[in-house]
Amino acid sequence: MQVQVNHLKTYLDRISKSLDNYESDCQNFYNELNNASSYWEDEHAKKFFDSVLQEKIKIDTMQNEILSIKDVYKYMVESYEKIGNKLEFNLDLKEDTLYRIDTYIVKLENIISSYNSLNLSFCSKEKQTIENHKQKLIREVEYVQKVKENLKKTFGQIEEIEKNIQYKLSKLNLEIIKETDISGFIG
Amino acid sequence: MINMIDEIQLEDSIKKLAMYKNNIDLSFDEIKSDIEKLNSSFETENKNALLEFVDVLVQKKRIVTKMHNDNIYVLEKNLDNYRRTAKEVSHTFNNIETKGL
Repeated sequence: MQVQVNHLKTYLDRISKSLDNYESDCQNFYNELNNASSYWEDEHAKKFFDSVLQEKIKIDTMQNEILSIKDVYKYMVESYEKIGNKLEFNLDLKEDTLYRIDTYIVKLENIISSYNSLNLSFCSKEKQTIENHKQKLIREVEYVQKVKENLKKTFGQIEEIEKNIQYKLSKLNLEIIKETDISGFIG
Repeated sequence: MINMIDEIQLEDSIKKLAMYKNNIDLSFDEIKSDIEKLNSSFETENKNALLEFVDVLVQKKRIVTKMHNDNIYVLEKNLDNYRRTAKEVSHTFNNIETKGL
């Protein structure tokens, strides 16, 4: 997976602006069609403008669908933004990565155990140096454990985000629209 | 039902509709282009599902464009037919006057 949050934000802002224009252009179009109903009145016109009213409902539905999809993108941007600005990771390697970190921690712990089992009574001078090395390794284990926990937390967040996106998409149901037969509207 | 067409106003409306339709198309093209750029900024588990929804929207917009073109065509065609009929009627009256029929 890879996410460039700043790019997503830029394009999402642009989409929001274009969507405002699109809505206002559609509104103008149908307002003008409504005006035209005063300039043409006969049986064909009645059928045509009745059909336009039905068409407008479909157009409004489509606008709401675009808004819903935009909201999914918005959720994605806001959620990934909490993790970082640029994310890149092969999630197929998630378990392998955690396993390697665990293996590394076990190795370090084994070394620390070895230090603990050393008999230092005969080398008092070296004792402090060895103790310092041991403490350094203990700190390394603590650091790597923190890294592992953060990584697990981030994996959890990513899974949660994708699960929520999947749920939001499952709630989306785009309506099918068909062309209108205009043959009955021409006199 | 009154049968009437206000030629000047209807012609003006048709021009405005054509302009608004172009604006709609331009705005949607911008939305589509930015969604494509946005989609190239991420690779996640749900990307394909999102792309499918966007594809459906683009297909729907093609039908909407056809609807808008048809709306304009219907008005133009009826205005043309009205003008042709008016011309024919006027021609017939002229014939009646000149030939005394």
